[in-house]
Amino acid sequence: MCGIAGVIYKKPTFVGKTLVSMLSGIQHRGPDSTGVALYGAEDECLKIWLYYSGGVEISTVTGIIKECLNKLGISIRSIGWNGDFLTVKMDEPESLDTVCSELEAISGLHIISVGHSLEIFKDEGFAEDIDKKFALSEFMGTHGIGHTRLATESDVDVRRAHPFWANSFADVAIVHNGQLTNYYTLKRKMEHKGYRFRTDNDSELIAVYIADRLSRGDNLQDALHLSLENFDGTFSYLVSTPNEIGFAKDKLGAKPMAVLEGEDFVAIASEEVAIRKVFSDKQTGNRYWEPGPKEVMTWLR
Amino acid sequence: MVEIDANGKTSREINAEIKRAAAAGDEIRITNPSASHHLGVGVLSPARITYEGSVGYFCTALTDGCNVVINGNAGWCLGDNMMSGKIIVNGRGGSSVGPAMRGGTIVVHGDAGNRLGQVMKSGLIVVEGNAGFMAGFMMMGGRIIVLGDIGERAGHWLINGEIFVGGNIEGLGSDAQIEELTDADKHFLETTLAEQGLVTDKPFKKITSRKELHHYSTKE
Repeated sequence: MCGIAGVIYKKPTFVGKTLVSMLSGIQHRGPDSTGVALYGAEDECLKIWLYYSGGVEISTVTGIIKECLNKLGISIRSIGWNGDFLTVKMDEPESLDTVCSELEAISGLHIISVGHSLEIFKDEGFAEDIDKKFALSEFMGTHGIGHTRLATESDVDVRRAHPFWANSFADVAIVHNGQLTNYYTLKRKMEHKGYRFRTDNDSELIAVYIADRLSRGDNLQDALHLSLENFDGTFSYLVSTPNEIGFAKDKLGAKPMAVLEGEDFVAIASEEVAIRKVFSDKQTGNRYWEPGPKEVMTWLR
Repeated sequence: MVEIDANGKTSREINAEIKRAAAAGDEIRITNPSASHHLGVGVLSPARITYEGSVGYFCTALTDGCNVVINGNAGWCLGDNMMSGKIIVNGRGGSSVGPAMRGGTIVVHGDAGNRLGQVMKSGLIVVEGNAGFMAGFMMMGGRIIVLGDIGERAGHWLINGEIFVGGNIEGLGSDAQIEELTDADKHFLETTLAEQGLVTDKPFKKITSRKELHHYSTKE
């Protein structure tokens, strides 16, 4: 069991605050770790969030990162850190894959997110903990997705916490509740295509699968529909891109999902209780429903 | 009338207040339930409870004799294992409405989710709107009436009981069949719908078990 949530507004607002409130409503579905993928104003620079789990002082690690990127001829705009998390802003590289590979070759360094508007914040603990740590309530943006994790098949740590960034593809993220029973088969197929996986978590595969389809010209809705043909198991998941969020539900409909659609927003969550943390049921004119099996929907901001 | 404002309270705190009021025989009105889970669980007296808003999972589960009105949506497993009483939902019913219910009536005036009446043993569920897939999954007894459409695998592994559908049936589950309505069925539908204040001119279909699975010629 895990909790997933997503929200998209037509205009920028304190989207981080919304998601933190929603996730606090479904913390009971996942007390191990919590995370959000938020979309702010698009930046011309590429922003990479990193997590460091090695034994060296962070200030030293920043030096190693600078050296690494300088060798690749990449201009760094800024580099900063917050505890074990670092953020690097840089000019667009020729090869994102090369940059990611070189950075992850630094011992103890893990990429959390890459994007021009996407930023992922995740850690062990509850929604209120990551809100305090990353000041999520102050984040202005149009949309985002979030997750409360009950670890089942892989360790409790930052790398395996959700959301997952779609490795090799900037600005795509997913959160997932459930399990893919054909994970290893699909993983081998994608590895044959040249993709590398950083974790043993099936959710990472969903992110890469969707991003791969998008890169081949599918729109998000097509990619989600195709995933239902290829994924086995019981699952529901949310995907976010710079302009869009969407969900897909498996054919058994075993994992819950509730949707509230208003004039200028859409909120999605594993349970209505998460939605009601933010959007009152006294407000009329909104449409509430529970998606059925094999259902897919997307919304543009 | 006792009014309980659920705002900021845990389900345990709300339920303690409900049980105190129910024991005193008071009518209970709960404001701001905000889709909280497990509300009104384990009440074994004929309490009259109104929720002014949506309720979460397992509302009115394990109860006997309560009369409940929900002016909002209900989450999964509404009335789980209820023995008797009545629940009216003036909104949407979540998945698994009335699982394993042993008696009483649940009326949903909106749509209901998947696995409606899963493993129900007795009692009645009426859905004014549509119902999702696998309605009556492993149902052992009782009756379900859906005025609207019903999803795939309706009556999947149905053991006993009857499902009446006014709208389209997207597909039947394993061991389910459609039977002709008897005069007794028509009378039952007419009187039951009239009791609930519901009107429809749709020709109902009845789903029953073919009794080829989960029915054994010898007992252990």
